[in-house]
Amino acid sequence: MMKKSLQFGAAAAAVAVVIGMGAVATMAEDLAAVVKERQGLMKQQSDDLKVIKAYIDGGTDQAAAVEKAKSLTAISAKLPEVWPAGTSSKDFPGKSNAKPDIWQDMTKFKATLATVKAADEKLLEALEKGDRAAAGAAFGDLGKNGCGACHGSFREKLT
Amino acid sequence: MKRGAYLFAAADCASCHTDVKNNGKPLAGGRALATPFGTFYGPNISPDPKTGIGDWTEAQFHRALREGINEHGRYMYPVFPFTSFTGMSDADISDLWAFLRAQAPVEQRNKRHEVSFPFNFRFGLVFWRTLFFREGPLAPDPAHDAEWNRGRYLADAVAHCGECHTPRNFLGAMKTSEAYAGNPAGPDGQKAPNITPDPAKGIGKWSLDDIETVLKTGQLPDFDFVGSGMAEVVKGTSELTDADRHAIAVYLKSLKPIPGS
Repeated sequence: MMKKSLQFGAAAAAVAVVIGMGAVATMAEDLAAVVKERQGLMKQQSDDLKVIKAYIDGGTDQAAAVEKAKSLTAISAKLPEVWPAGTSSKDFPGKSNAKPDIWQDMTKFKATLATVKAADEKLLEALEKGDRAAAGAAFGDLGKNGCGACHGSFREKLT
Repeated sequence: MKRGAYLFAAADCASCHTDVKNNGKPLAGGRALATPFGTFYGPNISPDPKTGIGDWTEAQFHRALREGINEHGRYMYPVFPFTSFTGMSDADISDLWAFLRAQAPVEQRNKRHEVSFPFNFRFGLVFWRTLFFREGPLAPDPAHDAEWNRGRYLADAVAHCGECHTPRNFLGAMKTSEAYAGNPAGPDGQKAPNITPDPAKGIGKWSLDDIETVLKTGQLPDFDFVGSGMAEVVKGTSELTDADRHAIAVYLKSLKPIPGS
């Protein structure tokens, strides 16, 4: 027959373990949610780029292109916030394509995201002016030095 | 020299021979390439006489690309894709040699490859070569026009696309009957996709323009951008002429569609 204090201690420990496990499970869920969220942001970017490219190539619907460019700049402001530790391709194999290199070289990674933001802003400016030639150049710059640069160093498509 | 620089970009020598990830000096080697047979380190191909290829003759350089034999007369591991470079013409190999000779020499000792047992015994390459190596150069196919042949030359020999995109057998040789059908166990564990014109598993639904866009900017038809190994390749293919990228696209679209892995 255990002493009351021991019983209490055991119960408290059991509750702590359950809360701990729950917390870990919640954390894992949270991290998985972040992975999904940023993949959604990536998809949104490619949808936006499609509309912008249509305007650059065909000249139709400048308003839609501007709207999408604003969406891109908003996303680029959010991007630096969606890379918590524990969401790499090693942590979520088959789900996350984020190379562990991101966290090994966070400075370089954040710098690449800053490049994306700057390129998005330049693209928006050209689109607002209706300058399709400048927008085309900005689009190419975004692709090469923004999206491409980040993917080149930090993304491994294992899925 | 300009022709040599162009070939250097097309063949993307820098990807394997410059350790970009660790801010290595150009052509000094050191880049690790993980394969199912071990990890290989790209050697120093700067014209340094002690640690690079500065003391090589042009004939030795030709031998390396055409026959896969190094300056000591030993067989090289086909991680160096001499199996593709063998298709290059003598003139192009000479141009590439001239370009490399003009680069800055860097003194950096080569790292020893970490080859898995039993592949660490080089003499095994004798058998491998007998089974799988066919020496070039690539002769033009008279059944196709000049543009197609140019595309094939660039893709098969110089840019050696098949070395990543063609599935391999258990001895690490490319399965030529399934050319370009994709390799799930590519270098550094990357999955190289199927780029035959299969409509479901390959690039059958892509236009020529789609292919040229990827090679020029890395942008895919769905506005995704290629990453990792292919991004490195695009650094080189973005420097090709529009006509050359078009030729590669024409060639790829003419391949046998293979549903593949």
